[in-house]
Amino acid sequence: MDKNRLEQKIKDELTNHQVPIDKEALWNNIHKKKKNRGLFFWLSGLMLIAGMGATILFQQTKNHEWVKAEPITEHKDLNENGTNQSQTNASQLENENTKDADKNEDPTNPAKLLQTKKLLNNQEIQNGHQQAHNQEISIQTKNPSAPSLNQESNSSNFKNTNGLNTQTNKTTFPIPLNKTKLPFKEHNASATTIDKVKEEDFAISLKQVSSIASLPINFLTLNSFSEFPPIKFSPVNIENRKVEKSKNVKGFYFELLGGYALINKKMSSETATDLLEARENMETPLEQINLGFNLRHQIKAGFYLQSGLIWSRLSESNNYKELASETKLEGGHVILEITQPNSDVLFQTGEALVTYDTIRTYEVYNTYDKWDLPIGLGYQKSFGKWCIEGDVNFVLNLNHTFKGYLINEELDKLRKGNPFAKRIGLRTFASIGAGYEFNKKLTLWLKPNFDLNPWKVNVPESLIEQTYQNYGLQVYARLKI
Amino acid sequence: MIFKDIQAIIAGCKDQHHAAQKALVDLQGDRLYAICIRYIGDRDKAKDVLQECFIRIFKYIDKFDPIKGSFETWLNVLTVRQCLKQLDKKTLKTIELSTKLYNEFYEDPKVINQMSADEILAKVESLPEGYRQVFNLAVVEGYSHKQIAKLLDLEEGSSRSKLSRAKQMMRAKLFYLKLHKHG
Repeated sequence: MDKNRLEQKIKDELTNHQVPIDKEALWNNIHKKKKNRGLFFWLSGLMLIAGMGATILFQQTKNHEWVKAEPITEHKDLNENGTNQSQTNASQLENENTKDADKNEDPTNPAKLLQTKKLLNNQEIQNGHQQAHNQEISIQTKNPSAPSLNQESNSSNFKNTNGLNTQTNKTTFPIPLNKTKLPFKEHNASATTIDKVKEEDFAISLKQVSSIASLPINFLTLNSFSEFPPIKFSPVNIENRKVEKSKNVKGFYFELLGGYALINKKMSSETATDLLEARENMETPLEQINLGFNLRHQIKAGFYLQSGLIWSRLSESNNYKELASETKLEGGHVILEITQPNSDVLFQTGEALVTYDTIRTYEVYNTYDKWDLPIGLGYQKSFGKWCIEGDVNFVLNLNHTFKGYLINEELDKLRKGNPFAKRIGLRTFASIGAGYEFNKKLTLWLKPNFDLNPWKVNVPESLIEQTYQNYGLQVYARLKI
Repeated sequence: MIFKDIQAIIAGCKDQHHAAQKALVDLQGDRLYAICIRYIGDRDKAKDVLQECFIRIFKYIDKFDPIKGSFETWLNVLTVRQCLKQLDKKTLKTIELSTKLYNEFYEDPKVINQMSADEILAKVESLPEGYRQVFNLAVVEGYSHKQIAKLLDLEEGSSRSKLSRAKQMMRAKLFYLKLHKHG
């Protein structure tokens, strides 16, 4: 009877019980929340539309405009003798070419390797696929009609005035040559001797690209939270007893984020295996910094949706060694051979165009700026002041720009154009991390993240296909709005 | 436009009239706040939940059907459900008290009658998570164990045991209060 009376009393007292609350403040907060919610949905919708629009736009726009190495053809007739000489020596050249060709049958022949690499470079240039990483900038191409003439067996290493390490292969051309202009500062080789390149001269000293070290992801140990604190109950300590309450309160949050990531670059090619090998050995992993913001809606039972805008800068610094050749006019070369009636042979000397094959070393610094729209879904769990959460995000690329610099040339030699594809592949990443609630408004988070898929960056018809994959660490400052 | 009676306020709210919404907040704010406190157990968080409740009420007021029940009942149901949404159901399942409770108390009807609503509310507020909600749903709202089990995603047996313990705790708390007050 007493029990029922007590319960009835509790019910009567509490059913229509009122606790005064500041109505003005309550109304203002409700009004503000309604506004914020509307703003969030508008912004999310706007970003989604903008992202889709940008994606469609990029699909339709051709933006791969590289500063191509435009060939400038200069025909210089050195002298009439030179021209005639080319005709009279045609059969002799053919013989020598045949010998060279025989020699090139050997796959280990350095001359063949050189030719292969050159062909690959030229092919790529012609296809217009000069990507940032394809630093095989066309230097100078040898006139196919005037191959290895009068090669002699001296080789030399020298350092030119620009401090570039070069190795030379000197060949004389008593006939007009096509000259292709360099896209960067012309190399002034000053060799005066005729050199023949040895095998080791052509061997690119490739430094091994260290494989990316996967970042250790330290998950927060939750053992300390896994058990509910022991409860001691008695009429005396009831008042002091506190039970941790769930913090999964709905709401909107604004978060600022910043982070650093290493990007594992993977390259593959079915055809350009030589080029691929060279680049794999010369290129290092990219680095990325990023800044951005997210708007986040905490929905049912700890789940949240988020979207925002992220700016990222990817950068890479690589040392490239590249086969090159250049042509210069030099005197003292045999330009005519005259057989006299008494069978004596006279040699007429004069000026001739000389082509030097070189290996150039140069440092390249590339940057890629990206604007991305992430859309994510995650789950958050609170334990007192501490929280953990994990999420999966889809990242749509809105825009990307490229800037490349040749460091040991003049800095104004800015390389233009965008080596990336019109549309960078969809990126998905997961992150898991821990946060600490400083007060009701501010929570700070530390979240390691990693890409779930390697994302394609270059045009599909490229000789070498590249994919990137991020491993990074993000810091978030989250504000309740 | 002045919203004097509840019917005008409901009509105004259905038209998304701000003055009507404000009038509803003024009229029902205190009562719904008390419900939120009973379920949430933390007055600051209860304010946050109350804001969500009102946003939800304004959103779904079109669905209110006077034939099915009074407006106050509809508000109560919506508020209680909103409060329960904030709970972590997993936590509710895992919390089990293993303490010995005091079953026998001398309850003087006179003393019971003297208890104020605020005193009772304070004791309900201090009930542990899970027990507090079951106690409110069963004793104040009058829900059956089947309904409670469905709402809180519990077994019926668990609901019964939680209610039993919650009642014992309430008696202990009120007994302590009684001792404290009367000596």
